[in-house]
Amino acid sequence: MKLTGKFSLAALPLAALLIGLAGAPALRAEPYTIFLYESDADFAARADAQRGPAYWAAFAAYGDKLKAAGVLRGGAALQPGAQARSVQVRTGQRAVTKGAFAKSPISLGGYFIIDVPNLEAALSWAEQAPNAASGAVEVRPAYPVPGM
Amino acid sequence: MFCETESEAAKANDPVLSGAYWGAWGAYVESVEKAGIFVSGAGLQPPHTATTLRIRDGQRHVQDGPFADTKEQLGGFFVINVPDLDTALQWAARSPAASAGSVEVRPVLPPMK
Repeated sequence: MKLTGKFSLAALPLAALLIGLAGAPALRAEPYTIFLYESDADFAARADAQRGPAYWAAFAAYGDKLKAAGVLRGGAALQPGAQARSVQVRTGQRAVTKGAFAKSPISLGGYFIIDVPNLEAALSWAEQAPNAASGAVEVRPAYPVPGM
Repeated sequence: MFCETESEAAKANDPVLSGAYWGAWGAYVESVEKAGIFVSGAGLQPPHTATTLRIRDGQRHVQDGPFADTKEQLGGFFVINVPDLDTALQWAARSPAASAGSVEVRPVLPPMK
């Protein structure tokens, strides 16, 4: 599928391929998702004339670091929970409610998917996220969408 | 973002129920792929495999478990490229998670890469 072409270079770092061929499975990269949980103040910074540029620059720099290390597989910033819709289908009926599923002063603001050998490597990247000190970062082992 | 209860998520590894569970997700993934709207996404290992990290006063604090302490937990997510919210809601409603749990739909800013 053509969209996967965008991800193939980041998803198959050359070093991991060569090591795999040499038979060193301990260094094979696995996907992890890094969920960036941000405070209300962080979300407010995005559009703030004073804080906005630094906010976006910090995340761009973080993404660039991940890319330069060859571990980046994907990522995006999400609009805040107030712009979310929650969808449930029960007995064939669709119900849509406004707002995020879980409401909290620290809420999901974005994510990255990275390919690294183990949890500790993922945590080392997580602690460099710009929001680690003001919010929280959740690291979860993932697996690629089947067939993609 | 696909949110599931623990019992729903457990079907993924259940010897009897996993066939139907993955069959439903496989069909959904295929429909998303065929529509040409897939941008990014991942299935997530169960919430107990998560680790949550914070930095406070320069110290790294690491806890086992997911950030959110809720009955329904994130099981996976897609980023899709569609013209409007309504189309996104339609895709959300078609996912297995919509009937078994809930699906949160959020606008995404342009991807970083």
